[in-house]
Amino acid sequence: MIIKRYFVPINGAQVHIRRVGEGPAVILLHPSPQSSTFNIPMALKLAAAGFTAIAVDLPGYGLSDPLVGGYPQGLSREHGLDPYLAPYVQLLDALGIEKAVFYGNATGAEFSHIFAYNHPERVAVAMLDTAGHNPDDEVDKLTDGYFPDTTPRRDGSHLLTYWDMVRFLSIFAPWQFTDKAHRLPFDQPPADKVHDKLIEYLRAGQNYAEAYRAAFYTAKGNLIGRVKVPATLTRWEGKPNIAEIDALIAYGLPANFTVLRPGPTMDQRLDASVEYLVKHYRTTGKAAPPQPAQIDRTSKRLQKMWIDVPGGQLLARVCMAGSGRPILGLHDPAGSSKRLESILSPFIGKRPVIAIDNPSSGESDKLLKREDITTEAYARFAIAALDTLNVKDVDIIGRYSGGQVAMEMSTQRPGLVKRIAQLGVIMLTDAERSEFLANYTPSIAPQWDGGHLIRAWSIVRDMALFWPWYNRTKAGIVARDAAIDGPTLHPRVEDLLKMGDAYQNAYAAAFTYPMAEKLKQLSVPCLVADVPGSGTYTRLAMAKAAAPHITTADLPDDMHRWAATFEAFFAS
Amino acid sequence: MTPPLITKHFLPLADGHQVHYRRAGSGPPLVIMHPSPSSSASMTASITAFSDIFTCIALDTPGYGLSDDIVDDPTELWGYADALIQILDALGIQQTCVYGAATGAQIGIQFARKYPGRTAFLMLDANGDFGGEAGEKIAKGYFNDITPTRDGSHLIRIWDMCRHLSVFFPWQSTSKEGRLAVATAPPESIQHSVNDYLRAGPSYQKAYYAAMLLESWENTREVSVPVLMTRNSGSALLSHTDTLIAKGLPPNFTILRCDPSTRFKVQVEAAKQKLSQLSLPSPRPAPDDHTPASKRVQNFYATARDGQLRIRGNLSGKGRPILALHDPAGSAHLVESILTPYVGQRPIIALDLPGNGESDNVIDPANITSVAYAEIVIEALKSIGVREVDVIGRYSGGPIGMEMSFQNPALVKHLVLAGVGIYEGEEQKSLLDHYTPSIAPTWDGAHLIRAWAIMRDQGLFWPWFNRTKAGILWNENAIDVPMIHLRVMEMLKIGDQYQKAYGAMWTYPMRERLPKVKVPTLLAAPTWEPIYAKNGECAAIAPQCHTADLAPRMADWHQVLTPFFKT
Repeated sequence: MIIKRYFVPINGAQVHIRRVGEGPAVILLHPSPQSSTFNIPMALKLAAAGFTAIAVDLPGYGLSDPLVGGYPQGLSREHGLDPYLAPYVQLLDALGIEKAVFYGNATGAEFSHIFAYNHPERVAVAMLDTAGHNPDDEVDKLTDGYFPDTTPRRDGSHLLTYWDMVRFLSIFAPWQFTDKAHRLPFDQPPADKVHDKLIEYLRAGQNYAEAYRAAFYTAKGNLIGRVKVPATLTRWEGKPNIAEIDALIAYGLPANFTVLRPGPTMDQRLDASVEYLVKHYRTTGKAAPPQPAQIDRTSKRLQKMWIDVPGGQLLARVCMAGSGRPILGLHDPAGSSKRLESILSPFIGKRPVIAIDNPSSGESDKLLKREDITTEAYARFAIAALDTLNVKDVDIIGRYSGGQVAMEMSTQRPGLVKRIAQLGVIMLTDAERSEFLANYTPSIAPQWDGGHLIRAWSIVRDMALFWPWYNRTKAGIVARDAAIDGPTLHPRVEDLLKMGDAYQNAYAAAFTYPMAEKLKQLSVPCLVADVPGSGTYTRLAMAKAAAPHITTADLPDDMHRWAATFEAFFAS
Repeated sequence: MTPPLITKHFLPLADGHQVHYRRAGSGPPLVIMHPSPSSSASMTASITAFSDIFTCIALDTPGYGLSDDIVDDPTELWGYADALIQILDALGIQQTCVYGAATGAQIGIQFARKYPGRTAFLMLDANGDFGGEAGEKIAKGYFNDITPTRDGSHLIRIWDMCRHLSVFFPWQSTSKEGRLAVATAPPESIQHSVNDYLRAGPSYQKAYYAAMLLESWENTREVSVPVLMTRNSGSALLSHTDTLIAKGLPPNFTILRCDPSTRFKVQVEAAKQKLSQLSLPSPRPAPDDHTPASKRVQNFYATARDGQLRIRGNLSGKGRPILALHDPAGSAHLVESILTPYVGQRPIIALDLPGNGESDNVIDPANITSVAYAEIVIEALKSIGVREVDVIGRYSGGPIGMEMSFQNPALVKHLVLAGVGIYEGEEQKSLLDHYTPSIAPTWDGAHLIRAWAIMRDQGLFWPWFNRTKAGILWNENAIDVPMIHLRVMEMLKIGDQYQKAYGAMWTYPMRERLPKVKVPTLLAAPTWEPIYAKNGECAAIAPQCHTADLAPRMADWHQVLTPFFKT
C-alpha cells in the first residue's frame, strides 16, 4: 500500500493530507507541532485493515496553509481549538465524506473531542489516543516558558532556540523544566532524529504555538465528557506520564466512552484502536469517495499540488489560470519552488505557471539518492512531471542550476522546451571548479549541539555578502545592499536544512555541468540574465563568449521588476 | 627596538574598588584609553610605540576588561572623567598626557574639558563627528542584549556583532554605503573581541553608547588644552573624522595625517615634540597591588616565569594562607566561594592557572602536566612571599596540589583533594577521546555553540557525552545558566589548550602517586557528584588519607575543611 499526498482546496486555503487504503474514512490527527508524517504507521495499519486512512496536517502545521485570517486573539481557553472546526467541516465536504472516525494523538485527540462535541453528525467515533486531564492552574505552570519566541533573527540564533526546545523534549517533561522530578529516563535520540523534529517546527514556523498551547487547556474531563458519539480513550502502558490519563479516567467519563488498555509496545498501542474499528465501524461505515482535484484551476494564485512521477511525488506550485504556453520555474541547487514565487508572480493569471521542487529538494519526495543527483536526472523528473500534467510545451525560467536543467530538458525531449531564460548562470573556469567543489558546500549534517544550524545560516547569509560566499577577503565583497535580515534568510536556510548534505551533490552537479559546451550546442532561444553588482554577474560575459548566439540582459535590483525582461524575451 | 616589558596591575582605589591597567616604559605619564568594549589588551601596539618616550598607563575603562565599574552615571562620559581623577590620585600623578582611541578619545575629551589643569595634552585617535542625530542613528540596533540564555543564543548574538564589525559600519547596517572595503577579521581575532564582550558583560554598552552620542564637532571643539588629533586614512571612521575636520577646529588642535603603516611613527614624533616643550615628572613606581584594601576578594598578580598569574584572594588575616586550585578550563572564579568564608581570618589565594582565566600562558604548551603546573604555582607563591599553604585542589587541582607537596614538602601543610579519581583503561581512553572536542574558533561561530553545549551537558550527563539513560545525572537543578555562562567564558579564554588541561587530569598516575603523599590529606567530594564513588576508590589505595563528604554548596565546605586544617 502506497501512501499518497494531496492538497485539498477549502475556502481559499489548502489542507495537506496523506491518504491510503479504501473503505470507511478515518481522519488521523497529529500532535503539535508535527504533521501527518507522525500518523504514517497508523495509516498503514488502517489501510491494511480495510479503511481509508486520511492523515491531515492541521492548518498552520506541516504543509497545510495557516488558518484564513490567522488565529483569532482573545479566545477563552476552552474555545482555543474552535478556530479549526470550520476548516475540518470544509475538508470533509471537499472530500465528499459525510461521517468519519476522528482519531488523534495529543493535540489531535483534543481536537477530536472538540470536533465530535460541536459536530456529532460528522463523527462516527471519536478516538482519543494520548489524552489526559489537567486543571488550568497546573497547565499554567507547565506552559510557562514552554513556547519561546522563535521569530527569525539576523544572527540565526532563533534556530538555537528551536534546537534547545526540540532536544530537551526528550530530556525533561515539560522540556523547559530543569529539576529532577521532571527529568525523563530516556536514551537521547541521535542528532538526525532531533533534526527531523526541528524541521516539523520549521514547517509550523513562528506560530507553532497556536493549536499547541490551546490543546493544553482542552485536556479536561468536563470538556471531554461532553462528547455524545461513541468514543474511545487509549490507556497505553508505554506512555511516560500515564498519570494524566489515569486522572482523566478517575475524573469519570460517560458510558459512550470505551477505555482501550493496550500493552507497552507501539504496535499494541495502535492495534488496539484498529481492532476496535474493525469490530465497530468497518461494516457500518460508508466507503470514502475518490480523492477530488487538488487545485482550483480558475484560481489566480499559486497553489501547491503533488505531481505523480515514477517512484513518488513532486511538490509543485501551480496556477493554471491564464492562456498560452505554460511557464515552468526551476530552482537553484539548495532552493525550492517557494523561492521562485516572487519571480513568477507577475505571470500569474496571464499564463499558466508551474514551479516544481526537484526530487530530494524542498518538499518533494526523496526520489534521488545523494549520489544519483545529476542535472540529467533532474531533467528527467521535470519532464515526467510535465507529462503527468499533460503539458506539451513550456517556456522555462531557471534560477542558476535550474537553467542547466532546462537545457538538459530541451535535449532529452526536443520540442518540449521553447525558450529558456536563465536567471544567473553557473559557469566556472577549471581552477574555480575544483576550488568551488572543495569549499562551497561544507557539511551541514546534524550535530548533537545544533552547531550545524549556525553553519547553515552563516553559509546562506554570507552568500549575500561575498562571492563565492567563503571568500571573506576584500576581493570577495559583493558591493550591494545585503538582504541579511532574519525573515529574508530564514526560508532559504529552511530549504537548505530540509535538503541536508544532499546539497553538496546538487551543487556539485551544477559546478561540473559542462556549461560552455552545452550552451554552444543549445538550439533553443536562450536568455541569460543577472543583476549588475551580483557576485555572478561577470559570468554573463563568459556565457556570451562561449555561445554568442544567446541573449544576455541586465536585471534591475528589484526582483519584482524582472518579469518585464522575461516577458520581452518570451515574446521575441 | 626591543618590545617593552608590559606589566599588568590592579590599582586599589580608596573605596576598595580596583582598576586594572597595563604599564610600560619610563618618562612622563601617558594615560592610554581603549575603544569599547575592549580592554587595555587591545592597546598593546600603542603601548609599545609610546613606551619609548612615556610611562604608559593603559587603563581598562571602569566596567570593562578587569576593572571594576566605578561609574554610576555614564551620561556624556563625565563620570569616566571623574573616575580618571580618582585613578590619577591613586597613582600619585598630578598632570598627565592622555591618549584615547574611539570611546577612549571621547573620555579623553571630557577629561580635558573638565580637568584642563590635570591634562598636559590630549591625543585623539579614531574620533570624529557623528552629529547628534547620526549618533542616535548609528546606535539604533547597535547594542544587542547579550544576557545569557539557556540555549546559548546570546553567544551567537555577540559573534554576529563582533564579526560584522569588520563587514559594515555600523556593524548592523546592511547597505552598500555601510560596507567596509576590508577583509573580514579571521575567526581567532573575532573570538578575541567576543571575549572582550564577555568580560564587559550585559552592560557592555554603558560607555560605548554614551561615547557614540557624544561624538560630535560641538563637543570636541570645547577642548582648550593642546590636542594632537590623528587622521588615519585607513580608519573605518575616516569619513566622520573628515567631517569633524571640515567643520573647523580651534588652533589648539593639530591634525596628524597618517596611514595605518605610519600611524605610530607620526604620533610618537608629534608627542615627542610636544613633550620637549613641557617638563612633566615621571610617575612613581606602580603601587603594590596585593595590599588588601578591603575585606573582600580582590584581584592581584603573582609572577612566574616571564609572566603574571591572576589571583583572586585577600592576604589579610592571620595564619597560613589557603590556596585553592581550580579544575581544567576553569579559573579562580570557580573555586573562590570555597575561600570567601575565610576572608579577614586567614589569607586566601585562588589562582588562575597559566593559560586559564586571566593568567599569562607561561606553561610550555608541549608539556602540560600536573607536575609542570605545580612548578609554576610554587614559583608564583614565592613571588608574593608565601612560604607555606594549605591547598584545596578541585578535580585537576588535586593532582597539582599533590605534586606541589612532592616538589616542596615544606610548603604544603595540608592538602584537600576535592573530587579526584583514578582514571584508567577503557574509561580513561573514552574520556581522552570524547571529553574535549575542539572548540577552536570557526568562521561561523559554531564553536561557541559547541562550548555552550558541552558545558550545559556537563550538568545533564556523566560523562557529558554519554547521552544514554545510564549517563543521566539526577541533579536537583540541571541547567544553571549563570554558571554555564561563567564556565563557557573560561573555556573560551583557554581555548583548545583545555584539551591538554583535561588530559593532564585523565592521565595523572593517581594509583602510583597517591599512596606516596605524606602531608595530611583529605579526600573529599560532595555526594551529588557523579564521580563521588571515586573518592572511595582513592581512599582504598591511600589509607593514610582522611575522607569526608562535602556539602552541596562550595561556600559551606569550610565546615569540614576548618577542622581538618587544624589537624
